[in-house]
Amino acid sequence: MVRMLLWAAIGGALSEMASIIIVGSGVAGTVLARQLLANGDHQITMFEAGPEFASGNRRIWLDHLVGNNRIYEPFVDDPRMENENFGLRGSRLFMKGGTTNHWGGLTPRFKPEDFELKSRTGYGADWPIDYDEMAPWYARAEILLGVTGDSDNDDPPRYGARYPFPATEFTLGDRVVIDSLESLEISYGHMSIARSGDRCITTGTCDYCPVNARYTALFDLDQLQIEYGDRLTLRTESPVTRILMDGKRRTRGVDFLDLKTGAPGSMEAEAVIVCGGTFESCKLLLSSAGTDWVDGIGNDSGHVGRHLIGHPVFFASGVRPGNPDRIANELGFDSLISRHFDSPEYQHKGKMWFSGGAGMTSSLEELILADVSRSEMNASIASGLMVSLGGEMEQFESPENRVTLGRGKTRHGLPTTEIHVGVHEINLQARQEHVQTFVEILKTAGCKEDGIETGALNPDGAHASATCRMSRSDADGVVDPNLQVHGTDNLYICSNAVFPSIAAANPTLTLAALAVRLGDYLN
Amino acid sequence: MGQDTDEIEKLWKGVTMGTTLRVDRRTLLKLGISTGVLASVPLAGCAITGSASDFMLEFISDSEIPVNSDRTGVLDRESFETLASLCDYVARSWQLPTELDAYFGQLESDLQLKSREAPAYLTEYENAVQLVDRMRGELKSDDQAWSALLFGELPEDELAPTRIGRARSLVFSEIIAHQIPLSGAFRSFGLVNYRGYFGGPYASVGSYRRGAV
Repeated sequence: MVRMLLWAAIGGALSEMASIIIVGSGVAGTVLARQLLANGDHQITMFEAGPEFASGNRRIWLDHLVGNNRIYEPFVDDPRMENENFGLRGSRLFMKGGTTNHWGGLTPRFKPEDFELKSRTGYGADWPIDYDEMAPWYARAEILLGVTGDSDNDDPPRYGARYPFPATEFTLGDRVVIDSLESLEISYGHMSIARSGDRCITTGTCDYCPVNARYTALFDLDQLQIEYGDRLTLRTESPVTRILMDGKRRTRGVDFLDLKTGAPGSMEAEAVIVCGGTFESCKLLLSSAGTDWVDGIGNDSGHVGRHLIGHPVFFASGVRPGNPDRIANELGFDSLISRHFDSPEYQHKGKMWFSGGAGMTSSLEELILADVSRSEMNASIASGLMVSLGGEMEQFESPENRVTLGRGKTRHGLPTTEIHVGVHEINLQARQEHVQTFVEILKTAGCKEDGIETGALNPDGAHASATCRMSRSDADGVVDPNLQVHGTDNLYICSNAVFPSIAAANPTLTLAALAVRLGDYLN
Repeated sequence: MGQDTDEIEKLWKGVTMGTTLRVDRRTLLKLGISTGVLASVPLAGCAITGSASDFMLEFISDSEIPVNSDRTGVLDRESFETLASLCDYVARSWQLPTELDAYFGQLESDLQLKSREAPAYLTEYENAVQLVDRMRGELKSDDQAWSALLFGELPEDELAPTRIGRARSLVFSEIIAHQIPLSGAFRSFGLVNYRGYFGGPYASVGSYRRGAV
């Protein structure tokens, strides 16, 4: 309250000032802002490099449905950012709400062993916090993100915490995969997914939900702006170009660029929290080098930008003869997950989880537009069933993995991104084994072996992590267990960048849990 | 269908001259044939030559495509009914539900939305309606006109930037992609839910087909 009165008294004279600056409007910044606004008296300014966007808009949804257009294409990286071994283009979005606009909503927790990678395998680094410390924050994040899940599944342990919404029941197509998994004694369960159970109407256009059921920071920010009014200022098309320091320990604010006018600006604050994702967060530290931090803020030990990791993904599909039940993909999102290989036994070579399902090989409208007759369509639907599997695995860092500042500027006025990536042989071997497991599952499901197709993709920006990793001492990382940049008093990073390791599971729930935790710490 | 094929075979015999095919595409289109029929005889893939092009070339001419996504407005009733007749054609031809009155309310609402908001489809719809009217004037029935507009074979590499190319990809295809989920037409194939249909709360029995475990 004292702070609020102070702001009220001096607000007019210090309009370019906030109590807290958050850089980035994705899930981390938004969950954090909600915690700070709900439980504190902060005046927050959030900077977002990308533009505004509308949530739950009928026209956007309609275009997405009937045109199958790439609604997020204008918000991806520019072509110069593409990297052969670690793609950026299309994997992350510069817009209000960030990458949650096109995420799948998958929200598995990390498992206890994921926090002890170095101790258990010799690879990467341990987290300075463990699963039991994270568990209550996971539970709070699951509520904030509206996660549906199986509260009785205790792998990893839930310690009695209930999901806010029950799990999605398996689809008819899931049953085909499940039969195969049971034959092979591979465990499976319900996918946990950030898709508010009181709103989801199973329309299947999940990349742009017409009713805002799937969690997006975009819609969450809309709600925050309504709920908290002037206490939250969102400045879109305003990339932060530099963190300003008063001496070595204290930040006093940021420099930014107003892309609408082309004018540079500055804003002061009591604290700065960088939530710009794995690439932009480390780049901002590097590009803020000065007399006190000659190699970049928090980079005296050289860890900023290093240790880049992500999720290699792989997939397989085959056609099983016959589809008497006319199984189609009726749900539009994953409801089945197997974490059988996401277990301590597989950690030394790269854990993985996967999902799967079965459906028609072509959509009805595709068949009509191909002038396929009704009788031919019926025959086509009944003739075969496409069974598909897709998974992702833990990547171990290679010493060469690193993000640095490139020459030139992006369209947002930020330094371009240089990515240097090595390949970890252990991961390559494990990926081959996992793909072969997929082939066995598909064969068991009745797919003809010679028709099974497999593929794999390198990691990309969607789940990239570890460029500002968390550590107990500044010799081993960039931020401390409270996400405060080592050697500073009021500068924080809240991003996948702080993960010391990536695990096999999708990172967003873990990031949201860290954001809730940081919010409580700052309040 | 059989009669049409016979007609095509007569044409085939009559127009083969060495390696050069001289086919009157307009005649073929007047038969109301589609690419599916064309694929059944050794005519598929031949070049369009001679007087056949006179009519269709007008459709594929890129000299002046009268579309402008900045022009917003209201789609008039007659134009809507012309476009909505595509749904009747699809429903009849593929044995989908033909009682579409309730669905047409939703379709009109969505076409109006795309007409009044930029990037606006108003001129795309107007272009498509002109093509439909012209084709109806040339052919014997609405069904033949729609068949020709949707499936009449044209050079693929010249199609995209043309009037008929735009109409196919931005109007006709989109209307069919709207009709299948939002009219509930997918149900006639035994499905319970479909991309774009509001199946209902995920926890409600009946919103999609479950697999017993």
